[in-house]
Amino acid sequence: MATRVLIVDDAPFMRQNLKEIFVAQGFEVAGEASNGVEAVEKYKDLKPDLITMDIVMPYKNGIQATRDILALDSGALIIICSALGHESLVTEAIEAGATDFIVKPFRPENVLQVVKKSLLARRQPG
Amino acid sequence: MDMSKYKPLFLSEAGEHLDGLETELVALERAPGEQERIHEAFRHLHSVKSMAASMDYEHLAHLAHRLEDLVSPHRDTGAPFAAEEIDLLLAGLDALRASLRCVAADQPEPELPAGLMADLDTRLRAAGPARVRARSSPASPGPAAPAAPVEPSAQAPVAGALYTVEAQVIAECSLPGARALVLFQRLAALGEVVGCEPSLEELRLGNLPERRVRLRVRSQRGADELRRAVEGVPELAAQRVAPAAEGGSPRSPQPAPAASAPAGPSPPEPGPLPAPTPGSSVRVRAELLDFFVDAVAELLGLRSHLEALAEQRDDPALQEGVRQLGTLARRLQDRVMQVRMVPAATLTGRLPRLVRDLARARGLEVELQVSGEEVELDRGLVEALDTPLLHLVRNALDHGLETPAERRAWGKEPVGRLRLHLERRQDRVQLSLEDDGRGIDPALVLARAEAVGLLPPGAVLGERAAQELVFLPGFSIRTEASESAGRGVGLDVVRTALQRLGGRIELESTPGRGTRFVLDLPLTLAILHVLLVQAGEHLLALPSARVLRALTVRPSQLSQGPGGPEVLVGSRRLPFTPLLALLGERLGPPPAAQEAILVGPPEGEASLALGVDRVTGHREAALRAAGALLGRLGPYGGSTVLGDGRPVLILDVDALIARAARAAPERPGEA
Repeated sequence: MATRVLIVDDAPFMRQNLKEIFVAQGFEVAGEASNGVEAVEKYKDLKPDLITMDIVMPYKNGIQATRDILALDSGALIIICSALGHESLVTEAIEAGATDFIVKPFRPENVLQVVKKSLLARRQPG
Repeated sequence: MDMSKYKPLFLSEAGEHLDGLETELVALERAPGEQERIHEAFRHLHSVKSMAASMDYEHLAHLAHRLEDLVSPHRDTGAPFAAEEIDLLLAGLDALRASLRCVAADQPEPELPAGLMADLDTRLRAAGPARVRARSSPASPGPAAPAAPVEPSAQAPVAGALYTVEAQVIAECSLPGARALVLFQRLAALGEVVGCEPSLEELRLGNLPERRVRLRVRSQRGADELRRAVEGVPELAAQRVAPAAEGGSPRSPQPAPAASAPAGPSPPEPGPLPAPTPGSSVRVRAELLDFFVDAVAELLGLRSHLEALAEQRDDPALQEGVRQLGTLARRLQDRVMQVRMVPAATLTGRLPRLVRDLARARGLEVELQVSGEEVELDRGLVEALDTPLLHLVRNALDHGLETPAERRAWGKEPVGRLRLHLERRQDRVQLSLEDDGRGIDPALVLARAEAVGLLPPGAVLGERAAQELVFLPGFSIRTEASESAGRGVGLDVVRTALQRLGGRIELESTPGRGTRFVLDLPLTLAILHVLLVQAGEHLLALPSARVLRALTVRPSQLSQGPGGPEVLVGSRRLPFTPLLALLGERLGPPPAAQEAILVGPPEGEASLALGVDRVTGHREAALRAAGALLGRLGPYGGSTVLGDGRPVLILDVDALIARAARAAPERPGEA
C-alpha cells in the first residue's frame, strides 16, 4: 500500500511542490493542512504514515503542532520543513520529537532520501 | 557555513515578511487590539530576525529583535498598541527595508538610525525591565520548551557498553547542527548519550565545526543496532561506530572493527545557474522559469515551422505527429505559465501603507478596500503594473479625495473610500480603482486644457471626451505640482504603460461623486502572438493584437492625400506608409502589389496602413523585452527567435504610429 502523507504548510506553492515530489514517487498525499490547528485535526482524521510540517505558520506553529500530534500518537512520523535560517527552530522541533527535517527550497532527491530513511528507521524497533 | 548562496532567497523572503508586517501594522493602527494581527506581526518580525541572524546581518537582526521586543508583550497580554508604538514599528520597518536594500546592492549593512534606536530603548525601558529581558534567548519563539530528557548529565546512569560514534555531515546539508542533533536524538532513543563534541548547546545554535560530530553512547543494544540507527540518518558521510574504552576520551584510538561504508554518493548537485533575482516571490529560480517559458515558446514556434513543412507533404502520419506535438507543447505552455503566476496580493500589498502615509501627509482620511487579491497574474505583469497602479492611487489621493471638512460640506461621510478590485476574465485581468471623491468636472478639465494649449479656445467636447483629456500628455489639473504626483507626469504615463502591456485604461467619473479607473490587461506577457511580415530584406514581427487587418493593395488603390499617400479601405482613406520608410530604410521602386497591414491605437480603429512586401505567417513567440539599446535602434518593442532559429525583431506599433504622425506634415513639402 502506498505510504500516505499529510502535507502541512501555509504556502500553497510549497504544498504543491511537495505534493508533486511525493506523487511522482508513488506516495499518496492523504491530505493537506495550512496551519498547525488544521494539521492536528487532519492528523486525527487521516492517520497518515508521514507528516511534512512547516514551522512558521499562522494560528499554531509547526513546533506546537508537532508536540500536539506526538501527544496524541507518540509514534507519529513528522518531518519538519524549514526555510533556511530557522536552524534554532528546527533544533527545537527535533528536540520536541520530530523525526527529521528538510530544508526549503526542496530538492526532490533530498526530500526522498530523508523520507525513505525516516520510514526505514521507524520500521526498525527503536 | 557559506550563506552567500542563500542571499537571494533571504532577500525575497525577508522582503515578503516586511510587506506582510506592513499590512498588519497599517491595519493595527485602525484596530490596535486585533489579536490575530498582533500574532502575525510578531511572526513576520520573528522570521526576519531569525533569517537575518543566520545570514550574519547583525544590524538587521538586532533591529528586528528590538521591534519584536516591542510586539512581544502585546502578543502575550493581548494589550492593544498605542499610536506611538505603531509609528515606531513603522519607522523600524522602513529602517529594516533600507538595510535590505543595501544588502541587496551588495553594500555593507548600514548603521541603525540612532534616533529610532533611542526611541525604541526609551519605549522598551518605560515598559519595564521584563520586556527587555523577555527575549534573552533570541531564537526561541514561544515559552521555552520543557527540557527534553536528552541532556547527557540529566539522566540516571544506564547500564550497557560504551560506544563512540563519529560522523561527518555532508557539505550539501544546509543545517549541519540540526543534522547532528537528529543523530543525537536517534542514539538517545537507544541508550544514553554521555558525551557530545561539540556540545549539545552548540548543536542547538547550529554550530558544527568541520561538520564533524563525535558522540559517546552507553547502550545495551549491540553495535549493529547503533550502526543501523546511524545509517538511518540522512546526509551523513564517513560515519563509524566503535566500542569505546571505559573512561576513555571520545576520540577513541581503537580502530573500528567494522567501520560502515560511507553513505552512498551525495545527491547530484544541479549545474551552476545564475542566482535568482531578489524580490521575486516564486520560490523557484526565476531565471529557470524564464528559461522554461522561452523554451516552450520556441517549441511552439518550432511546431508552427514543422506544421508548415508537413503541410507541403502528403504524409498523414507526419501531420498527425506534428499535431500531437502541438497539443503537447500547448499543454506544457499552460503548465509553465501557471508556475509563473503569483497572487495579485504581491502587487497590492504595499498600498495600505502608501495610502496611510499619503492620507496623513495631505490631512485626508481614507479607507482602502482591496478585493480580488487572490487573482493570479504573471509575475512579469505584476512588476510592470506596479508603477502605474501606484500612480493611480496617488492620483486619487492628490486629486480625487477631499479633506474631511470638504466632504462634510458636501454632505459626505468624512472618511473617503478607495476601492481596488481585481477580477479575472478568461485570459485577461480587470483591475478597477474607484474613489468617492470630487470626480472629474468636464468644464474644469476643458478650461484647463485650453489654458495649457492642448485645445484651441472655444473647443466643444462631450462630457466623456472632456474627462478623457486627463490622459493627454502635459495635462495637469493643479497648477502647482503636488509632492507625490510630481511635475509633468500625468495619467498619460499610466496609459502609455498599459498600452505597452497590451492593455487599456478607461475612466468613468461623476462630478461630486467620484472616479473609477478600469484597467484591462492580458494575464500574461511572456508569450505573444505575432504576425510575420517581409519588408525588403527584413523579416519583422507585429503583435497580432494590434493588427486589425491585412489586405493586398494594388497601385490603383493608392492616392495622394493632403498629408501624403493614402490607401482606400472600404469607404475610408487611411494614411499609407511603407514600413521600410518608418525604419529609415531606402525604398526601392514600388512593387506591383503589396500588402497593407492596418494598425491603430489599442482597441481603437485602424489609423495607419503599413506597406510590406508580404505577410509570411503568424507565430507564437517568446517575447524578449527590448533593452535600452534596442529601443534606441528603432521602433522595436522586443525580439524573438523563430522555430528555425532566425532572430526576429518585434515592432512597437505605438512607436510606428508616432513616427508616421511625425513624418506626415513634412510630406506635402516633399511632394
